Amino acid sequence: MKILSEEWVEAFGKAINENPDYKPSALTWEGDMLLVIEPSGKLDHEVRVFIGLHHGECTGTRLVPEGEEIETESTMAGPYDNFVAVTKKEIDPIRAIMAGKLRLEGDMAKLMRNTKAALEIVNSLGRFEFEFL
Amino acid sequence: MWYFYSPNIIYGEDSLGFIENIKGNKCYIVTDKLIEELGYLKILTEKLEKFGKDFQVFNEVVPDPREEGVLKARKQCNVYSPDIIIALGGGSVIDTAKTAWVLYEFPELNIGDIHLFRSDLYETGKKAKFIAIPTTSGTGSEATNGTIISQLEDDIWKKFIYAHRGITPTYAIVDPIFPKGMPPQLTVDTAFDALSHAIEGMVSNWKNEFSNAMGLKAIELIFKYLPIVYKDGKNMEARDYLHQAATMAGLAFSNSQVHIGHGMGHSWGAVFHTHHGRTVGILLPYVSQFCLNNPDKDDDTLEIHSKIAKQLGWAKWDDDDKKAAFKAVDKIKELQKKVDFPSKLQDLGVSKTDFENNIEMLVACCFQDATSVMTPRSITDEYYRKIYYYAYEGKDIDF
Repeated sequence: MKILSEEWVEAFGKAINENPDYKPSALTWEGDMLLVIEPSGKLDHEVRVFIGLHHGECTGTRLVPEGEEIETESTMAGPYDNFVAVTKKEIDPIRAIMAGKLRLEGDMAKLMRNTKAALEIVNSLGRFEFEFL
Repeated sequence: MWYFYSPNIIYGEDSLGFIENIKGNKCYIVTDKLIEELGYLKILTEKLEKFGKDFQVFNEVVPDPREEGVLKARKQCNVYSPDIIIALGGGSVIDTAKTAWVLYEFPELNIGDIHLFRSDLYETGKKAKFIAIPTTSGTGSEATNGTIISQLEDDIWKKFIYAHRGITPTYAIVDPIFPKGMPPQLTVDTAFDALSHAIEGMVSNWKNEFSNAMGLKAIELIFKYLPIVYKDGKNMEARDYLHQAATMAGLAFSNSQVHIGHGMGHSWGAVFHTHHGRTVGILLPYVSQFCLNNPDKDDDTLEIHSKIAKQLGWAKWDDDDKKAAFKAVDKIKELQKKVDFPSKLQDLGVSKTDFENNIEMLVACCFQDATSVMTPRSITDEYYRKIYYYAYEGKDIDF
């Protein structure tokens, strides 16, 4: 399975729900998230991934087609290579945001109270096998 | 890329007099009623009068400061328009003043807008310089880029951390004249807060060589001088070193972060209103044991504790790391005994029934504390629960 494929996006949502550390840390989290993966390295076009999140459950994930307008409570955006570095745990996700390698937008007060939940979303990527581009 | 942020630090006897050199004539002083009653406010205002500086005093800070106090101070600042804001007190005072300073500088912001990821806060300090003068030796807030303010949520006053490197105080004046009047118990409680800052900061996920240097020296000074000050609070040399140690520990964790000991302490404090330093000091050996038991071989917590023990002469250089690392935990427990510090959460006067009735709330609050992602050993709800139970009953962590 290749990263950013439809199969991968579906497996990502499943992995969040199967991550035993996610649910208890996200019980108060309300609001969906959009990942915006910008072209860099081996990715030559922008990819957007919707992640539905509500009270410790991932309610669904999908690729957002080009041109579709979508509003989510929070957005995490950045170049593909930086997402890969975070996924491979070469960079701590919060340090990546502080260093400007990834950008986080939304209700920051709410997000800061859910840092563990956000980390577990990222950690869920390590719970299934896939190939990078 | 990483960072080491620090205020300009003026320390030692008579360092308060440095205020004469700080440009600005309108000083807004944030303090509390106890500091006023102890005569410390007078020491400061006499200096300001001598240096020809005007001042206005806000003395309404309470322990575990809440949003209202911050907003009231901001409102007064907006009217008075100070060019210097001075915090004189412990952590609650400094945190209130620091937050009010940021909101005074940026009138369009609310407390919740203060977070790590914005760039405008690097410009904090254009309207006023911020001078933090600690009167206790523990909080470290005079040196940190964070502030803790309680806000009502789910019928509980939860403690939330707001941090940004740009909100590091402009000056920290670390004058031992202020902590010399601290009673022994407060001295010990605040020192254990500092010790927790230093040790947690040395193993947190953002540890770095600059913060480690500060952390190690702080640990050395606390172990050397706390027992002396505990026996003789008037020993000014020991007071001075302990005061410096607290600031060093503040620099250590501000640039590396604390982890679950503090998160669990914040949650416990929010629910049971116990002294912060005493609570995190009790938790310190338990969270250290939890981290040392990490089965993940890539984690270097064991080596770091071992190095602390060897560098401070608690273990031999040829001791194996595991033996030396646990020696460091033994030394924390020894220090607790030496200064009559409690060793389990039960000693804080919380009944087993109250504890068990609130355990799920405690765990939920821990997850809302940003420190939960800083622990070198990944934490789960089950681990939080078990550590609380073990620390309540005084049992060594065996998982």
